[in-house]
Amino acid sequence: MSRARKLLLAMCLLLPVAAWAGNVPSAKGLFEFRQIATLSKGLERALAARGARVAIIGRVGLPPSVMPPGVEYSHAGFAVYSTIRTADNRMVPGYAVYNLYQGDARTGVSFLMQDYPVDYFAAIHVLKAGVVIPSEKLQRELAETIFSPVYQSLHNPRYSVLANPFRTDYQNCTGFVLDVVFAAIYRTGDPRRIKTNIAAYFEPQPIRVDGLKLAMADATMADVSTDDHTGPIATATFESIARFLVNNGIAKEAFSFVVEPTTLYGSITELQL
Amino acid sequence: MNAKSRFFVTSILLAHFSGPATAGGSAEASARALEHSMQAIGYSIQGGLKLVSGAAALPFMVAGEIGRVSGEAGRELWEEANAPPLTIGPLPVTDEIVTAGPKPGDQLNQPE
Repeated sequence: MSRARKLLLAMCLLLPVAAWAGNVPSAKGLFEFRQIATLSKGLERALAARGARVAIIGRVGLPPSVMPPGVEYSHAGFAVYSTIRTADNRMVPGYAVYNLYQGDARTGVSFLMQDYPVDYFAAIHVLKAGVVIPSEKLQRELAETIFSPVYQSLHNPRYSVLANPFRTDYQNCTGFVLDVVFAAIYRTGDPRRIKTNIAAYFEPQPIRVDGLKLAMADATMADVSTDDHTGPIATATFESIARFLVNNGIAKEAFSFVVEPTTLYGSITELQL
Repeated sequence: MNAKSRFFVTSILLAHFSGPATAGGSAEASARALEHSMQAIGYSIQGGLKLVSGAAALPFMVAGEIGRVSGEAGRELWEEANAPPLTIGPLPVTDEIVTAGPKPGDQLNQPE
């Protein structure tokens, strides 16, 4: 096989894994500002109407066609009801988003950031948000954890899209959310205790990816690592975290908020778990 | 696969995905939000939504939690933030669209 054909084959094999692994952000969003603003403000209003002070929100940051089976949302973070001081020094009520980003360069190194819903949803492929509102008690514990030194201490900047949630070698955005959730539930910042309980009670999402594709992605992409897995690949996803919260009776409500792109009509739909 | 061909494959992949149909799963989006924002300054939707930059955000929490927050905000700001009575039930939300704005490096490199 010629070198060109080998490269073409590699490219074709890698496309889905490469896309799911985060990939290069587009220079321009798929949606107009008014569409993104309607989704983000509509979500804020849906959360506020339910009295949610802390919620876990997911976004569809990648084309559904490249996502592995059972995974719709590519990213997750915490929405926290806040008083926001604006640049012109006014105080307004709304939600701030706390989450782990990998960064545009995809170096396999992540960072924590606080931004706002319109930033969080700026680069999405579907005008849709996944939402889990934890129980009142868990919301209080999450707020306390997020605004404590534990939150920063749980961050591992070594990013892998396939990070094993039972181990501390790598972390992805959803793995970070999971660690914070368990830190809040068990009121601890001890990574060993957190991981022990995750292993005992959390069922990660199996990721079915062709072995050859995976090996090539592992070899060529800084943000794909598989050496923290000894068996089948499984990782934390927005859906698996939602299932954990719902199945353990510590979710007050779980739903999707969807905006119709043309009419900008927002609606609540069932979260597919 | 040697380093050279690895680079080549990766480059092709990156080039392939740099079109408008792609966006990162965990990729930071605030810069893109700004791009949206810049197009939208002065633009309002649903009869009054307007764009503002958020300088700081402080959580509303339940009674008894005051003073336990850490971070850049001081107690004074915290108390100001929590001055309204804390209620159970529906919460007010501003009609304004708050954005984080550009990354610090982009902000500094903006033309004067």
